[in-house]
Amino acid sequence: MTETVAGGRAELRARRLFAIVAALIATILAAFTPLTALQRGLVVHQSELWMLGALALIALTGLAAPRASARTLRIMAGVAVAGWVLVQVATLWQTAGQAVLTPWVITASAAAVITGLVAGGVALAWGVQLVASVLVLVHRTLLGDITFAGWVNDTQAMLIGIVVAAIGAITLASGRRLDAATAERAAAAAAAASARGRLAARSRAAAVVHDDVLATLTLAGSGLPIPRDLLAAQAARAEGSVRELAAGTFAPTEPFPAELAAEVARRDPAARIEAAGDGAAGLPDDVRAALLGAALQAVDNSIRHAGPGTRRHLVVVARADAVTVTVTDDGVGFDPAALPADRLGVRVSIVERVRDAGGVAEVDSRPGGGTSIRLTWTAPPEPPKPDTTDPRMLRLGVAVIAVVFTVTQLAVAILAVPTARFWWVPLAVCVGLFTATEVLRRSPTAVPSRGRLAAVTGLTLVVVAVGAVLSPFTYADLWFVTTAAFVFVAVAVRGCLRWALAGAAVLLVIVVAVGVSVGASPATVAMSTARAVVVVLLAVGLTRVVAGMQARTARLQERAVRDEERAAWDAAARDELGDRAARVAEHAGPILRRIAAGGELTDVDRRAALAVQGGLRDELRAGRLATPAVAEAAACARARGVDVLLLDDAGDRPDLDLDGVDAWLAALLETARVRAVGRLLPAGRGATASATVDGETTDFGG
Amino acid sequence: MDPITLLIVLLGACAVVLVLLVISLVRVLRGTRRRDGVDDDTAPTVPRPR
Repeated sequence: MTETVAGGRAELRARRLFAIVAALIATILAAFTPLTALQRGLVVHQSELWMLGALALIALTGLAAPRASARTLRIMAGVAVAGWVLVQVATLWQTAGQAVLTPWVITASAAAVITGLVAGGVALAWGVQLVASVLVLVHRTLLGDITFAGWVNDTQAMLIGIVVAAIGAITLASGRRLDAATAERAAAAAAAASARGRLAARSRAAAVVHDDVLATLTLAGSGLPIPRDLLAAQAARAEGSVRELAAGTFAPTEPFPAELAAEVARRDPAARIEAAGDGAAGLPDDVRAALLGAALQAVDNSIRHAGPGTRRHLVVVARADAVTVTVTDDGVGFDPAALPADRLGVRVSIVERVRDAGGVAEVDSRPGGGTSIRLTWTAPPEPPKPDTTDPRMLRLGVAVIAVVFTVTQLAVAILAVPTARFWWVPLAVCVGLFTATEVLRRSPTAVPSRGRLAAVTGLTLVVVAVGAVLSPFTYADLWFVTTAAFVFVAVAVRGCLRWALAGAAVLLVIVVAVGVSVGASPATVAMSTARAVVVVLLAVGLTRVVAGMQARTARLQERAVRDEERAAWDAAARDELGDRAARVAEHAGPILRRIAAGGELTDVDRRAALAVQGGLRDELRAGRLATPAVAEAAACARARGVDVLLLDDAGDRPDLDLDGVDAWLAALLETARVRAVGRLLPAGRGATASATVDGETTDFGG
Repeated sequence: MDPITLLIVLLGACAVVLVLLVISLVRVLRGTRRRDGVDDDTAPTVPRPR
C-alpha cells in the first residue's frame, strides 16, 4: 500500500486561487449589471439575465475551489467557460438586428479568461479571449455600434484578459515546476536518509555488540575469577540490550544536552558538566543517537581505563546548526597511534559511529597527559532553492502581450487622430509609451534597477501629462491613460509593486488635475481613470498574492521533504536494526542466556563464549576477510580453543587483489593451536595480507 | 417580482457570494486541511511504504 497524491500541490493551489479570483471578478460584474440597469430606468435586457447565469457558474466554481480536487475544479471551470461562450453567442443571436447598444458586461472577458486558464491552461485562456474579442467585434458590426469609444473599451478589456491569463499561466507553470522539484528532492532526500539510517543502525548495533555483548563474552571466556553472580547480571543486561536493539526505539523525549548530562551524571556523579546553546531541537535523530552513544562510550572508556581519582569534564554546545561535545579527563592517557588493532572501543564506538552520522570525532591523548575527545557535527548546507520560473512560458507570455499591446494601441492611436486637437498628439503619446515599455523590457535583470524604473515611470507620467493637456477631455480621447497603466502593470509583474502603485497614484492625480482644470464632469473623470486604477490594483494584488502563496507553498513543501526524510531514515534504521539484532540474538542469544542463568561455566561454555565472541568480532572487523571458507576455518579453530583474530585494514587500497587469500588463510588457520591473527594490509605494505600463527608470521601476495 | 425587489435580491446575493469568496481566498492562501486533519500542503509528496 502506498500513499501518494495525484497532481501537484503548488499547481493545485494556484488553480484554486485563480478560480477564486475569477469568481470575485464575476461577482463584481454581476453586481454592476443591475446597477447599470437602474441607470437606464430599470430596463434589464434578457441577454443580461443570461450573462448573470454564466457569471453565477464562474462564481460557483470559485466557491467550490478550496475543497475541489484538481479534476473537479477543471470540470467545473470548463462547464462555466462553455456556459459563458454560449451566452455570448446567444446574445449575438438575440440582439442581432435590434436597435440596442452592446451590453457592456459581455465585453468584460477577464473572469471567463481566468476560468479558461483554470479549466485548460494558458492556451484555452487565450482561446477564450480570442473568441470573446471576435464575438464582440461581430456583435458591434451587426448592431452598427462601431465607435472609437467602443474600440478603446474592447481593446482594453482584451489586454486585461491577456495580461491576467499570462500572470496565471506563469504561476501555474511555476507551481508545476515547484511540485516536480519537490518530488525529486523528497525522493533524493529519502534515499540519502535511508542510507544514513542504515549506517547509523549498523553503528548502533556495532556499539551495542562491542559495549555489552563482546565485553560479557570476553570475560566469560577468559576464565578469570569473576564473581559468578556479577557475570550473570552482566549477561542478562547484554541480552536485554540486544532485545532493545530489535525494538529499535529512536524517539528522544528530552533535549539532547539534558539527556546527555543525565546519562553522564548517572555514570560519574562527580563529573563537571557544562551546557550552552539552544538545545539543538532540530538535531536529526541519527546524529543525536551517534553523538550520545559516542560521548557515553568516551565516558565509559575513561571510567574503565583512566585510573582512580580521575576528574572528568563534559562540555556540550548545542545549536540548531552545529553541536560540539567534549569529554576531557586528567587520567593516565594513552597513545592513540599505539592502540591495538583489536581494541574497538575508540575506533568503532566513537570514531566510526560519529563519522557515519556525518560528524567528526577527534581523540587527543598522550600517556600521563589525560584524554580529550571532541565530537563535532555541523548541519549540511541548505540545498540551493530550485528556480521555479519557466523561462519559456515567461518569454511566450511577454511576447504575446507585447504584440497585442503594440498592435491594438497603435490602432487606437491612429483611430484617435481624427478627433484629436493636434493630429500628432496620439501618435507621439503612442511612441512615448512604447519607448517606456521598451526601456523596461531591455532591463538586463528581472527586477529592473532604480534608475531604469525612474526613467520608465518618469517618461510614462510626462507623456500622459502632456497628452492629457493637449487632448479633448473625453473617455475615448484619453485612451492612453489606461495604456500607461499597462506600463505600470508590467512594472508590478516584475516585482516592483511600490513603483507600480506610486506611478498609478501620480497618474491618477495628473488626470484628475487636468480634468478639474478644464472643468470636466466628475463622471468623465471617473470613467477616464477607473479602468487604469483597477488594472494596476489587480496586477499588484495578484502579483503579491501569488508571490506570497508561492513562498508559503515552498516553505510547506520544504517541511514535507524533511518529514519524508525523517520517515525514510526511521524506516531504514528500524529495518537494519531489526536484521542486525536478529543476527546477534541468533549467534549470541543461547550462550548469553546460559551465562545469565548462573551456575558454574564449563570449558565447553567458555569455548562457546569465545567462539561466538570471535564471530561477532569478525563481523565488526574482518571485512573482506570474512569469506565462507575463512569463516568456517576460524569457527573450527575457535572450537579447538584457538584465539583467532581477523582484521581488514586494507581500507580503499587501490592494488588490493584478494584472489587466493581466503584459501591461503583458511589452510593456515587449520594448523593453528593457540593464537592466529589474519590481516589484510594497508597500502604501502607490499604484501596483500599477513598471518601470524602461533608466533610465526607469513605474508601473502605483493 | 417587482424590479426594485429583484435588484435588492441580486445585490444581496452578490454581497453574500463576495464574502464567501473572500473567506475561500483566505483559506486557499493559508493552506487547506484534509478531512483527516493533515495539512494538505505537508502531506507526503512521494509514495511512502506502509
